[in-house]
Amino acid sequence: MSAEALMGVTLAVSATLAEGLAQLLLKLATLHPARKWAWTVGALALFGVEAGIYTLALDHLAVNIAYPIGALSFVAVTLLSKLILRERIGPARWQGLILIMLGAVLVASRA
Amino acid sequence: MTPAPAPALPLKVVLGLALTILLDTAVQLFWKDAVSGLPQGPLAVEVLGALHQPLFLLVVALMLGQFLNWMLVLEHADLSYAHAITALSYASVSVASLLWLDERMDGLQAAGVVLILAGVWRISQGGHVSVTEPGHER
Repeated sequence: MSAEALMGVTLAVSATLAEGLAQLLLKLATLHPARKWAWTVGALALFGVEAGIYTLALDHLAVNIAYPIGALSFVAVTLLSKLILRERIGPARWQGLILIMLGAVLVASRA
Repeated sequence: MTPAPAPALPLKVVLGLALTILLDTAVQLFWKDAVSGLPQGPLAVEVLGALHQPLFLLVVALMLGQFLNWMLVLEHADLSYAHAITALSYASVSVASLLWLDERMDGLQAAGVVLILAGVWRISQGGHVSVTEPGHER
């Protein structure tokens, strides 16, 4: 992998992590009404960061590579939900997640 | 011992998730349409053109609706459940762009849509909320 591609992949993966964190903050906003606005503003800021990082990633990568990497956000959100929110991820949710990931990559394969 | 059945999915969650997919699909279609109507030129010209393009304002309004609706969904469902269900918009956007934007879908993409539908169906077989654990009262 060239240095440019590696940079692009790193940026795209970072964008999906920012998306996962933003979603986590939105869920925290619904769980803790007293801090709702703080979590919400934080989430919106992270969505802005995500958009910026993804734009930079597109400078280094073709969209048909960058877009499928975005499907990793399903994994990021699930792991963060399990680790931080203590949500119980049963076998059905993991199996469905794997099918969705494969499907998203196929749909984006012709992007 | 058989596991406890998953709690029934409330109608408001079903409607909220359906609205999420609908709004996401509409945003993608209108956004694409709006971008193709932009004047060609330097970035500043394109940004100014976007500000005068009613479709862009519609996209912003739809995004706002999307955000408010998503907050309501998250009040009643696990993040890991609701977020995974939104993958349906990959399928709906693919089909809608086929019908309204005259884009094409090949066999591989169609297989992807089927896999996404199967994944969402599998997730829907589980519960939409976890058992509350200490420190995370709902």
